[in-house]
Amino acid sequence: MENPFKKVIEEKELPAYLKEKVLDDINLIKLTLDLSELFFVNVPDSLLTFFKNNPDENDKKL
Amino acid sequence: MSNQPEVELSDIALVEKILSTKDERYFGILYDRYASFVYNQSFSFVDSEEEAQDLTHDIFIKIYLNLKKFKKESKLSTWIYSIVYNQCLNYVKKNQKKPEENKDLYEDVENLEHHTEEISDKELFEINYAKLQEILNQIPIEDKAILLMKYKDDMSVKDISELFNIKESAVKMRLQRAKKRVLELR
Repeated sequence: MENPFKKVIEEKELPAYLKEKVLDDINLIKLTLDLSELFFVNVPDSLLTFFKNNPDENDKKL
Repeated sequence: MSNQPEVELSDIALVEKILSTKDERYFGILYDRYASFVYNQSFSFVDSEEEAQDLTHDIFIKIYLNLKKFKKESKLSTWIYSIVYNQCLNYVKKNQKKPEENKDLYEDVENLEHHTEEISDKELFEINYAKLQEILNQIPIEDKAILLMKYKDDMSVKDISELFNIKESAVKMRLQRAKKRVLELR
């Protein structure tokens, strides 16, 4: 007996522009995540390391 | 890396490449593999091509953002299916006009036991597909989804139980109830 579920939804073709939109948005997300990592993780880490490693010089400058 | 990423990679290897290289071309390969599946699944939950396209876009963004959480012991297709299902269900619930018709898939199995007499697939398959289409649009979205998983996508009870993280007995009962609802409307 034929399974009617196989026929209830016809296969649709996805428009090609959608792939471009998805990949563009993913690049934007990547850029945002990279920038936030740079400003909120890398820069504070570098500053902390700098001040820890050069306490005397920092004192002199002050 | 060469200019042309390897398109023959297994799903697991592809996910590893996406995570390790962050090269968008690898995600492009994943998109090519699953776009049609995601789109057609989405289209089975909504009424228009535009809505299905918006859902497909959002689902792929979600896949990208959650790729780290994918556990490699399961199948990528099953994991993607769970994202598709949850995204579509949330969308439909947010937009539906009759929320009282919806019931939670995870509801207590004990409550179902009184109406779980076995319904054969034969009875279900006797329904004309146009009528079936009409019925599927009238039953709760969770019932429609589980029937499509089982009878359209040929998922096993085990696959469905893993997808929803519920017991196989709960899946069987849910299927029986969904079938009963369809037969009542035929």
